[in-house]
Amino acid sequence: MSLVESFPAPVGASSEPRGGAPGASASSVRGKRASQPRVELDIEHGASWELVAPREDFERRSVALRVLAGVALSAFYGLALGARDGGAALLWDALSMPAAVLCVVAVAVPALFIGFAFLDAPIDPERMANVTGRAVATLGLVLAGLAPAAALFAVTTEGRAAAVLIATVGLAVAAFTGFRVVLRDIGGLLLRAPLKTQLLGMVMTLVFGAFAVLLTGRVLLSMNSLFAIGGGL
Amino acid sequence: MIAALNALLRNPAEVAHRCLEGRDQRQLVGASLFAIVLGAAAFGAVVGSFRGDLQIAYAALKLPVALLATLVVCVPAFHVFSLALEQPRTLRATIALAITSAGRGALLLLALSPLLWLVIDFGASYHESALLAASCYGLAGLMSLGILVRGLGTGGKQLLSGVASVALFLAVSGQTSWILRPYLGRPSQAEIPFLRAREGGFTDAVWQSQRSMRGVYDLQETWDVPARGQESSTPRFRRAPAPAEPVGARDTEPGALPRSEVTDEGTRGDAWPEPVDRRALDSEPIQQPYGDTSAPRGGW
Repeated sequence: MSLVESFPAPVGASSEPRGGAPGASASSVRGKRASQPRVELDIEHGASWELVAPREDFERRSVALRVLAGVALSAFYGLALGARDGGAALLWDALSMPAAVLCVVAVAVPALFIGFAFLDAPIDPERMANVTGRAVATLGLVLAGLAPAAALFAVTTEGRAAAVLIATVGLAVAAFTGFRVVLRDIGGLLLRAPLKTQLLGMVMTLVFGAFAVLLTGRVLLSMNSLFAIGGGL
Repeated sequence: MIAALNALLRNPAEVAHRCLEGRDQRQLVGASLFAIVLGAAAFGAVVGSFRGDLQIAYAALKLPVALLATLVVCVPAFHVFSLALEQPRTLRATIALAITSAGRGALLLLALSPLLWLVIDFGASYHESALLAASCYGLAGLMSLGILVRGLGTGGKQLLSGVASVALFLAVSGQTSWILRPYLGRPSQAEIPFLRAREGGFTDAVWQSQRSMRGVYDLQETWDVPARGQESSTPRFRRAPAPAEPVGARDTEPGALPRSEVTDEGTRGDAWPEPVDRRALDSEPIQQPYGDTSAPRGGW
């Protein structure tokens, strides 16, 4: 599995492509930067990319796999935070993070879909499921990637409030990447709608983002996770 | 090996492309790991030479460990940042990019080691040595970005991925380095510790800074946020003592600090519990348990 991407050429290299069929992204980039010599690289990608890659077609199994993988991966971040207190806190924190993600998927996403249906936006349940699966997988993957750093800070930071601050920053970064996927994919789907629907749809998506943040905070606080201890924040 | 090290220094773009395509990854990563161990150990030894004796060996051991530990912690995050921002890579390619980047920086550390040694040998003070060592480390970090940035490519998403990766690397590197202090060591200390007591950390410093920005000064903060399931027996901040003079007395003095206004949330920015002559305080020698007044607590 590989993709062709365009990169600036190294010093002294020819501007001719090294081989491989130029992809759409490569040609668009080349058009913008015609003056700069570029090379096309045949870059391999692994299974993790398959988890978060954009998909046009709907496949129930693939969506379910993405949601499950995202939820399971988010547990690593909770586990890393639980390492601060150890013992039962490991379990609580490892459970609280997937619980928050599941709550958003179960409560906020259907609400968003109903809102789009009211607006008569061209978003059917299959497309909505695709967007949700990709966003949850991205969120989970980023949380899992940040887990080693979160563990380092959670264990070695002296002040508890500072540890909560760092954990919040990591969670915010992951939430941003997940929400970015929602915003981009929903934005792409809304392009076929009238301008008024597009605007209202984007406003609704932003409100969904804010609601998801509040809901996540509520779940984490109620589950006595590390974040609940920082209630004095 | 020599060819790979040469490529690291001369042609970062070519190295980045080879990492991404999986060409000669083994040679590049092997050479880079050698450069990291050699460069960081040499630089560490020179930094430790400020104190001398066992500190040379300790610092030579700890600096490569700090750098490699930072990479181990950061690489998964680098990988997911690139995936989340739609830049498909294998984990192997991300690891190769990160290690070759660090290898390039380590080679610069190796080159800067004689300069630092000479400055220390000429009798540079603790602060001067620490500042120069930190500058050298920062410069090496900048140079190492050469490979990472070229591996990310150009464009908005790549820039975002690069900024996130660099920010994380700086934070993790700060924390790991802090945990493994001291590097310079104090000449007055009779014993040379391998590790110093924690005394806060990078994140604690960030936390205190953001509170200071909001005007909340933690001079009297107790830092006893209760543990899970426990109630705190003491308030998070002790109430500061009331000013000795009548209310409003100091408000009229030129250059005096405003009257204290103390709440349970802490001492706010416009508050100062006692009239303090700060110039007098500055001129007083600081009594430290180590007996060395030239070096700060919690330093390198």
